[in-house]
Amino acid sequence: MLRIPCPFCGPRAEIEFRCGGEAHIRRPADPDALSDAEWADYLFMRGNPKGVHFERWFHAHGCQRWFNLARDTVGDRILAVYAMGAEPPAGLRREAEVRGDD
Amino acid sequence: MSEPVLRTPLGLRAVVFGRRPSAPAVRLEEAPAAVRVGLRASAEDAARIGVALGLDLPGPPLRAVTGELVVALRLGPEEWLLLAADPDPRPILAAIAGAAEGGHVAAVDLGHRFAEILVSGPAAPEVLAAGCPLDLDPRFAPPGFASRTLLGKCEILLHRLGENRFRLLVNRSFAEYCWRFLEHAALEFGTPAPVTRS
Repeated sequence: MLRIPCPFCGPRAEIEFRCGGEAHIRRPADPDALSDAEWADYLFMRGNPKGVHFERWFHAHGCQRWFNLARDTVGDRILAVYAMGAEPPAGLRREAEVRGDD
Repeated sequence: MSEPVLRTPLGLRAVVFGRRPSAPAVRLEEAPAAVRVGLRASAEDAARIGVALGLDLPGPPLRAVTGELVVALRLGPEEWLLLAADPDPRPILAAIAGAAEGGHVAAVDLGHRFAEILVSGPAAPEVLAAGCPLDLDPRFAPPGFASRTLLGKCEILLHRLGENRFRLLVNRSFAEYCWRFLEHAALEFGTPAPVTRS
């Protein structure tokens, strides 16, 4: 069980939340221009890093708001919580890039 | 002509649990029908609506703001649940409509959505802890605390009225499950005895 720090409600038990999968996946601007393989890549392919992972969470049984969260997949340590639509903290993004994480 | 009858989901049942009848450890009871209005609004609109209802909105997160007639539970950044004893929501909805003029506001009468269960007594926090993942320590959830959370497998709205008094709002189709869950958890603190209500 993770203890997830909701930006509004504070630390809460994981069962109150729904995980929305990987964050920062942008819908291609012009889907018609993509090949099937590229479209499938957008729809289905996700990172599975050993290290920093950026993901979306929804506090379903709480304030019912979405937010972004950076988690270290090795120890399940939660590194940062930030608003929907915001960029991940620069330090964590650099760390993820250096390690080749998504 | 038959008159429409407003029934609460649990028929206003009540029960106490304890080892000695004189000092029950837990009391469960369903509260009568009341006004419950879901309000979604920006903090600025909420402040104007608060003036109309006699409430100091937006108020702190996860806390109840108490006015003379209405209590507002702040459940989310832009979400409140308004509670009042009078079962007619129309005056409150009219007051909101007047104050929200020009704003982007949703106010919905949820009076028939919920069953309201009151859990009280010295063992009340422990009974709730059997199925609620929240930290019910008064340092985290003092009287006045209010939040959506879980009890067992169903979603509840928890409002702490006092150190050992809680108000649970549960969707009416889950009311029976929620009641039995509480009864089961309360058995640990004594045998049940029904309460005749005045």
